[in-house]
Amino acid sequence: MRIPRPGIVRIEEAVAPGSVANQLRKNLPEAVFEVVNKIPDGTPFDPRLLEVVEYRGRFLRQCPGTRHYLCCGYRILHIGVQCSLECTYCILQAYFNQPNLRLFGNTDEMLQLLADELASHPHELHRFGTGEFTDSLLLDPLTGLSCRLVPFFAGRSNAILELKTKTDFIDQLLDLPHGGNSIVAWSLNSPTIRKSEESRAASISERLRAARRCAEAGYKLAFHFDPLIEHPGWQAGYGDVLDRLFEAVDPGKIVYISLGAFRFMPELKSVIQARHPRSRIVYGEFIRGLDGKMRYFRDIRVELFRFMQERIHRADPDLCVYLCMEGEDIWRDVFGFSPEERGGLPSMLDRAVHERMGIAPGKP
Amino acid sequence: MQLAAAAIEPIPLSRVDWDDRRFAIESFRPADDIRASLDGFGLLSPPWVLPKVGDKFAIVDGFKRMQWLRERGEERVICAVFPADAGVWKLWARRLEARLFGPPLNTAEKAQVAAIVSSGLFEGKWLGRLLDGFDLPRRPELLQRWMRLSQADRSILEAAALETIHERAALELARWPESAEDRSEVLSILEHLRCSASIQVEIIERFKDISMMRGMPVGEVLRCAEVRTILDHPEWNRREKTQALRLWFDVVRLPRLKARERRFSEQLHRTPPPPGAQLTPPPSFEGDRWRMEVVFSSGDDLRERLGQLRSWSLSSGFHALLAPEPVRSPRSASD
Repeated sequence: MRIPRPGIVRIEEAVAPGSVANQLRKNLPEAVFEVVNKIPDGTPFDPRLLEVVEYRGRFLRQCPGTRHYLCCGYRILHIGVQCSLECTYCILQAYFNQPNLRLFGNTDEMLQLLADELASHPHELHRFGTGEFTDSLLLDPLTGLSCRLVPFFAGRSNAILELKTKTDFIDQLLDLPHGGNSIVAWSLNSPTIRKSEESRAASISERLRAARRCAEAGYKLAFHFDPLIEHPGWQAGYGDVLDRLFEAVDPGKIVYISLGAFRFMPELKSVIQARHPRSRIVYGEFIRGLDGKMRYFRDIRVELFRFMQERIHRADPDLCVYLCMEGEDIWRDVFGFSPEERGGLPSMLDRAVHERMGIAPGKP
Repeated sequence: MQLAAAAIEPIPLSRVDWDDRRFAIESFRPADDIRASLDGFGLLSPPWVLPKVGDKFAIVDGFKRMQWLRERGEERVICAVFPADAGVWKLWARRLEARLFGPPLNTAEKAQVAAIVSSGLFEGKWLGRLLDGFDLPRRPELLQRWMRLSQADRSILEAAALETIHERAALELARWPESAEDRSEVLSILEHLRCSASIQVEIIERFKDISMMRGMPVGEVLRCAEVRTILDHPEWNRREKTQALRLWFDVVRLPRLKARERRFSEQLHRTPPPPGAQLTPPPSFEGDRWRMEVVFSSGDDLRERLGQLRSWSLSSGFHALLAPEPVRSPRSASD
């Protein structure tokens, strides 16, 4: 896949000497570089623009789960905001005050905070990921950020890194000393949805080919079928992708697979209608969930999840499959148990990491 | 911002360029009130005019007053005549400043003001002041909706000005449906039902949802037999029609939820709770917080009813109520 390269790189002077800015200068010789004192929020959208700012917020965050649904306990390593893949369902479209691609240039500070955090809680397993507010690998060939992050996590007994992407930009990862602590993860969808709603992202084949190469390089993998979208032929579409997935990679290399049904803040509907008038994803059978988001009526979710779970179970009955932001009633209908009966969802994922990656913090 | 003072002087009405409406903010509603005032008291303040090339004057403010004079066959009128080089934006600034402290704008006028203030004439603090003053949004994509409304069909602007349709509904209707015929159809439904702002918006959204869900032109949905039957019902009043239309929306949009509600209701009918008890599922069956309400008259009565409830809660019928087999997707069969 190819994405348009940024034509303008605007950098705040505080981070102009940093490694992210230096890598961008090296890898984008054709771009115009501007160093400014401060990049304000609300800069009008410019698809050619990449902003590099000194981030003053929280680099380390909890996954923004809500109390009504069970959260995986994933932690966010906040490296930047926005994404140029423009998937129709993406929540980032609603970030009106930061519409441009933005990276945080004070990486040293972020890594120091991360090191302190890991050191201060040595007996907990920390599952960090960078793919919450941006695609983990979209700009990685230009920034080389993974070349710092992956070795940083390598060999640690209490932390793993998950790089989640819809790209196939993995060349820079292949020779890194990952130490078995990094998971490369792909968001997958049915071919129909990939074509209509994720048209700028890598094709399913490209993603799976990239996954196989990462597995060959010793990385563990994860896959996220999120958002699952009900559409005509969804069983055939998702079934086909699962077949191709398990043909492409050994299920034993997969640490977990998550399932999440499409859900959205009500305000996102009009944004999607305006930006993607041909998209039909917001016209499903949605009800207002306990967290205020629009969700498929529960029976539809159960049907989607059961189908996926059964197909995955056929390929690897021991593979950890989990639901993203669902209630105990849905878990019971899909799996026959609730995570609470097994120590909670975060513990289930910690166990999957232990079993498939051999990583577990020592007891205090 | 300085604007040269206007000269108060009489001008012949024959020199007014009646076609020059660049400063007009049309109200889109009858001018009965102002006409009554003019009939009773005449002009209370002079209209504003701007000299043009060709010895003519453009009206800046006072279109209705000037028209009233014209219809009366007056020959001259005392006006505030601005210098010819006054500058369009300064005149607009003054005109809008006057409107800021005048009676509130109706929705159609507000849309026109939105188009003017965001046309590039104003920027920075002036723009912000006007947007805030007229209660217009600062976010470009929201302001865009107001600008779109300013260019909407005359019938929509008139309905908005008369408050037959509410502001939010007018903004929605200006951007959808795409064909004037369909917009007119939706407008006539809203005018017929005369419901609240939120229900008007809901009606517009639901027609769009159903059109998109069914992959059919909205015109077909608007004119389908079910909708016509509801709207043309000879015995229902507008509230009943609104209620029926909303129910129809739900049945079409949420077929599996509605099927589940029906099944729940049928099952509850077959396996009713003990007398005095009422079981309510979570809204849309989302989550696992069910509600049981028990009516009782004394401690003994409560104990007896709880005993009955306990037996009922152990029955297979009760378990089927709580956890029935999910409704299968109608699409799955064909996949």
